[in-house]
Amino acid sequence: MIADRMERLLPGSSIRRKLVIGVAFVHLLLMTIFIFDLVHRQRDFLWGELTRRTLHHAQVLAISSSPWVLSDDLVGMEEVVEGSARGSGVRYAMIVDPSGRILAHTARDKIGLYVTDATSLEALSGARTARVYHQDETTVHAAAPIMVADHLTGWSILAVDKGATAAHLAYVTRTGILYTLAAIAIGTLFAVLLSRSILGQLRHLLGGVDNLQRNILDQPVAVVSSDEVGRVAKAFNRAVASLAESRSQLTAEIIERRRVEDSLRALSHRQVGLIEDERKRIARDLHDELGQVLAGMQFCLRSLQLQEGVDRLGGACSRLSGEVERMGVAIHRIANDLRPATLDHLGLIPAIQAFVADQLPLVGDRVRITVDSAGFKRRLPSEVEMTAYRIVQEGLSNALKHAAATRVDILLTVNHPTLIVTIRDDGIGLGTAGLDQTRHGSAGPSGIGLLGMQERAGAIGGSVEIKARRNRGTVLRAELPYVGEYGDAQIARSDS
Amino acid sequence: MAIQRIIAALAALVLLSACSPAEPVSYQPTYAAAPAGPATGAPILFAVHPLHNPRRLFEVYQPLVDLINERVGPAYHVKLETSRDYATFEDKLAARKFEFAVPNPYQTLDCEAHGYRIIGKMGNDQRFRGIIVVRRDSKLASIADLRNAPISFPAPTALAATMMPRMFLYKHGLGAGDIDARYVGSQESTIMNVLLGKTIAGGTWPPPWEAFLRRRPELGRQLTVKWETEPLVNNGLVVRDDVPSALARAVEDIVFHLNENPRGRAILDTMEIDRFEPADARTFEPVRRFVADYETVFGRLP
Repeated sequence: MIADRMERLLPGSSIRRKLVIGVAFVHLLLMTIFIFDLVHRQRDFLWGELTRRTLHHAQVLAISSSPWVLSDDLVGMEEVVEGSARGSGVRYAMIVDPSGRILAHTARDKIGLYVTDATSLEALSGARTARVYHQDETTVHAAAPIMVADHLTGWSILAVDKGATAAHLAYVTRTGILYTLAAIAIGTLFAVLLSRSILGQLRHLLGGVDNLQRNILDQPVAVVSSDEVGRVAKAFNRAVASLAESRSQLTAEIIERRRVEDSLRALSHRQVGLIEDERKRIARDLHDELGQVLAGMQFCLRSLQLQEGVDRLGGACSRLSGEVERMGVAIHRIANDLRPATLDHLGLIPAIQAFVADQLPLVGDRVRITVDSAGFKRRLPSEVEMTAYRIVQEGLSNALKHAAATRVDILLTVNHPTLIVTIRDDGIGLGTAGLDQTRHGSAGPSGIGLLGMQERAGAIGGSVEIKARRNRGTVLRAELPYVGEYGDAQIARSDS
Repeated sequence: MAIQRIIAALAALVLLSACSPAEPVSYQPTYAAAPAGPATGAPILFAVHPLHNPRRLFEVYQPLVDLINERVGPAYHVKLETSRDYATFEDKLAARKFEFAVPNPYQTLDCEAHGYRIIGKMGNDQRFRGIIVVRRDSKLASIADLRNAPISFPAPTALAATMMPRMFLYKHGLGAGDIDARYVGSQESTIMNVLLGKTIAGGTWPPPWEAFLRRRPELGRQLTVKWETEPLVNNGLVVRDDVPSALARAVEDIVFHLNENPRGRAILDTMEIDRFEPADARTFEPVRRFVADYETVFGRLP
């Protein structure tokens, strides 16, 4: 709360400035209150003491002058009055008889005159007790009756100057101000030294924080004090050291993980490559070996049908020829599924278009499929094209089989050095079925699920991202780099 | 910045508090040659010789003056006046300051020369004798032990307290130069000098001695009366020759009848006498003879 107020009063000020100003302010406030109270009490005490002393002085004068008054000894009274006027700031002293006639006075020219002012006459006609009958800022006036045997024989009147008391009060006030200034100076000096002591360590700590922000962890904070801030600095150093150690371990783990990931990716890439190579070989074997065999069989059956005497075998040969032909179509389809020849010979776009064309009879008018290559014509490394083809194959199959989509758009764009494949449908999104499909990675006809797509993309350093909302369609986006660790080599290999 | 303004304001307040305000006007009494109220006539002065200190004398004799005022006022206002010492009293007598006076017997004789008329005296002459007091622990055995010793007396002209004791000592072998006479101003001062050991003995007379015993018994117990003189005629009462006869008669009437009423007797008791009685110059003839003898021995009185 106090810190908030200090912040409001001294916005943007440093701690040192706040501390110094705060200490100076506290000293000024406390010393002002103290001096004000002290002077006030001194004044009350001194005025009271002066009043009592004046009254006592007047009483003493009354008592000491009584023998002279009774004896009507004017010289004696004069001596007493003059004696009483020595020191103590007596402005004047006099002895008057009950009628107000001056019998003795410190100013001798007043002797024999009468006091005539209302204040004096009121004092002389009042109660026969010693009292201060007038007091102003400069003088205290007191009167004491000269009583003997219950008879009033006169009055002693005394006026004492307040000047000495006022001068003393002024001295006390000036001294108080000097003390206040000294207290402020000492307090400020102390605050400066204290702030230097405290803030010196804090400054080192702030340097440590700056280093931390700049990610410099090997420069510990200098510990220059053993107080709480020093302990904080030590704790900060320990924390930074611990952080540096953790970061070192984490970096090593990251490096190791990346190494493992690279190994896995390379392994996966090699595995995919091997699989594709194996598929390619099997497709080629199917096409080359079985195709030649079936072609041979077809040729034999045709030749057999043309020979005489085999009429009775004509039907069987014809059926057998049909079966051989269907087997050839099946082998062609299987080989094409294993390794589309169009992909190798014509490239990615024709292969995808051919695949879409193969799907259209299966879905009929129920689904509209578009392929937009956005001017994408160039050939890419075969692994990239194969991966993109497999992803399109899997994504389209999923959309057609599980999403209940009425439209599927396939978009291929090149954002060098990345090929971006987007498959967007208007189906039910990743519902339970689709989600399960993905999670379980159940293979489709192409042999890969969503998980397989991600693995394939990861094998060449790419990624697959799927965004789906219930009943609002699904967007599959694959980013496949064609330049890099695998792409360049593939391009080189492709170019060769 | 706000806190700095507050600090500056407080500092300015502290500094301003040290400034002195303008010099204020002070009250001064005013004086005039005439009183503010109606002027009163000069009082009739009634004086008593300093047989006590002034305050004690006032306590003792003011009741009598009050009584007189009750009787003669408001036509007259009688005021009691004391004197610090015998010399002053005698000077005032010589200056005819008092209308009425109670001088000692010697002064009674003397004041006739200044126009005073003897109209009475204190009664009970047996009490008018001198006494010599010493400390109770004093080693004095005889008057001869006082030879060259310091002895305190009120004043050279104090008849009962000085002259009669000195004459007594003279008659017992101590001449004028055989003692160290010290005149200390009053009866009580004489007694106190003995008490404090400043003098070996002190001359006084019964009324002030008894008054001292009553008022300061703890001190009085340290002293004792060692010797006393033969009695003589008591203090006189004189009136100045220009005092209106009616006033003089009124005062005589009051004074001589004090012993006839309780208030008067109370006043007399305070004075430690039993009455005032009429007297004239002849009454004081023994005193005149004593003084002549005294002056023969000790030289002319001042």
